[in-house]
Amino acid sequence: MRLMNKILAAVSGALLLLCAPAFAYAQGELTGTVDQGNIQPLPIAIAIGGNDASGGDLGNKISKVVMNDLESSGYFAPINPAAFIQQNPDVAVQPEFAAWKTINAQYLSNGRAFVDADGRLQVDFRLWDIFSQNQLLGQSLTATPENWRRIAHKIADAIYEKLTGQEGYFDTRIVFVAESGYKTARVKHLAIMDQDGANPSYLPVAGNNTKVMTPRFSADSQEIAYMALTADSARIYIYNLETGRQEAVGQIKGMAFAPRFSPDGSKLAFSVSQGGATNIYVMDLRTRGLTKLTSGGAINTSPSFSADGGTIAFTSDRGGSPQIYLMNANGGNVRRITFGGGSYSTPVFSPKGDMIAFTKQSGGRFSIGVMDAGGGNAKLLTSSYLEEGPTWAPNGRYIMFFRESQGGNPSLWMVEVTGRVERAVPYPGGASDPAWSPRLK
Amino acid sequence: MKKFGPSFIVSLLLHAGLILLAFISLQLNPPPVKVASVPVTVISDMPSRQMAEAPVDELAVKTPEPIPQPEPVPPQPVPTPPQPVPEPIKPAAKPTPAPPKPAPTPPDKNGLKKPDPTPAKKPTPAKPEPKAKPQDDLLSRLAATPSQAPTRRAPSASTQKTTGQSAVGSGPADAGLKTEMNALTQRLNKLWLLNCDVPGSQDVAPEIRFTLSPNGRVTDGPEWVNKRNDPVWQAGANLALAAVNKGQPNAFIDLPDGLYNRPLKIIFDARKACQGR
Repeated sequence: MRLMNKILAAVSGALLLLCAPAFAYAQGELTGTVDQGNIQPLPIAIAIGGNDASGGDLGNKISKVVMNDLESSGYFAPINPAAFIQQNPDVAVQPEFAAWKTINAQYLSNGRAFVDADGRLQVDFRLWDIFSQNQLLGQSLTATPENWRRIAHKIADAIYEKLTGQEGYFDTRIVFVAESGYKTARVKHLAIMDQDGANPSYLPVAGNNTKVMTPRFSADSQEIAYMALTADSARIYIYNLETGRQEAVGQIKGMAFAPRFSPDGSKLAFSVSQGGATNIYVMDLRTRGLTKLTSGGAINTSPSFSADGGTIAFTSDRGGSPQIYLMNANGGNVRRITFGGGSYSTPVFSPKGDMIAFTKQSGGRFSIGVMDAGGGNAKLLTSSYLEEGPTWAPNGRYIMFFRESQGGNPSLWMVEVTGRVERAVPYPGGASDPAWSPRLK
Repeated sequence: MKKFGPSFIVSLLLHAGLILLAFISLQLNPPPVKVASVPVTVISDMPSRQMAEAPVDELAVKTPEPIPQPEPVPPQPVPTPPQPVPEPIKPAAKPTPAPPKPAPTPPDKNGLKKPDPTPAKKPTPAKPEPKAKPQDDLLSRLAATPSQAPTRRAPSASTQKTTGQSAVGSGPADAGLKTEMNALTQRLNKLWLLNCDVPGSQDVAPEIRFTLSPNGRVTDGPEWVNKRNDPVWQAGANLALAAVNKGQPNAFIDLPDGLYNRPLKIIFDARKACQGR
């Protein structure tokens, strides 16, 4: 009996030891909620190295473009490279995570730029989550060497998309009117540049002493429609960026202006001023057939197609003051959607069709605002002496417009759709009438 | 034959009960599933175009060579020595044990070479060992959910209000830990960075499961539990996971004992965090 009890005691002890982990695991899961947090830009380090064919520090230049793109979005806080503890982290080697934690980098993007044997520029880069010690992204991009900025913008797009879940917008262009000269004798050129203000260039236009107005991109960003104003005419031209070819959009009586492509690129809506009235027309670009959508003696202008092409927003003063109206793409079902004090103009549907950006003039000041596609929830994002002409970034999160101070030159500005981020676009000269391209392919 | 006494019968019943309890627990809490990580994003080549006056681009993107992946390493109960990593959150003073000799480095989970140890410019701690945990990749474990419409948010500076939330346990013994959970959630509030302006980001609420040891290290997880096949949710979950990883070890020592060595599930509720912002 005593022996049996001793054996039982030993077995009990062994069983208790074996069951101890199971017992511990058998404790219930404890749940809690974190509901405050820190809403601030994400700290990120960009460390791309490498040289171009002539030995120049191309990696540093690419890093600066990426940092500028991310910072301009308002969602990221790039860390000054002077603070890096680990210098030139090799893209083929795992980074020293402790060194990046020390400088409070939440993310690191490191990479290497080089010119391969075929003379093409190649950039390999990775995106690291420093605290999770995980690689989030790894890509290899190639291009001709002169397109190194486009590679930088594509890197910024990839990082932006991974860390926000939203489409990037950095690899895009802006077509605008470059202004110079005295106010009484303004020279207006058709110009194009990267969205960050780099690579500005003039585009040739038809005619002499032509003033360019309201340029607009087609959906595939290969064509630009613009109005060319000369001493005796105002015509719409379509400029093909790939071939350089330009053509006038038909023979139209009166002054044609404010062109805008349909989302599928098959139509062009614009205004025609004749006999004191201004009405909206749509041209089928394949057949060149012309359809008049509005009528009457009012001023109807600034047509903008919705994302699905089924609705057109436009400005009309048929009610006594400029307000924003919607109509079906065939001209039917016209209804007014703005009713606040002041006047509303230049409506532009967002790329997703969920919002309309507009210009409002009230109390001697101009403002840029957004509202729902049906006209509700209007809110003003900016305000100044004179600003107008909003255009959407392709991801629908940013709006560019032009602003002019009293007695000053017009300049381009950008605002985030919540109004939280507002900054000037770094183009050194006078600029107005911007239009944002879709994402470049 | 000698009859068995009452004490024997009682002992037998107790042991049988223990074994049954352990068996049931193991059935309810199966070990986490290991998932192999996936290689880098595949991007197809693009044809080149002739340039006009404006620089139309000639850009090609190619698939990078896959990084050789090591065999998945099963979780090993290697005790990680506490590393004096400078963390922004300092808990109450506690004597820190001297770090033991570093164990042999296991294979790198991303297939990359480790850098040679070189003297740092500034005094830095010894290189930390890679965390021994199952191979994990968020991209390979997502389910579908559409995102929400955008909402305007007023500009705001960083805030660190710490209200915390009470814990919910599963047994009578956990009732006393409800207020103690606040200590952990308050610290996580300070570590969690989030974005309220991206459409849909203010509607995410990733649930993160992990286990802490008394030395402040995460011994299991962190793992995103309520997965969604949505890039905004994925971005939000990354930030929640980073908050947990960022906290070890200094932010997780000196917590109530009941929070250690047991599964914890924390909901990072952006809906509440973004209210009024």
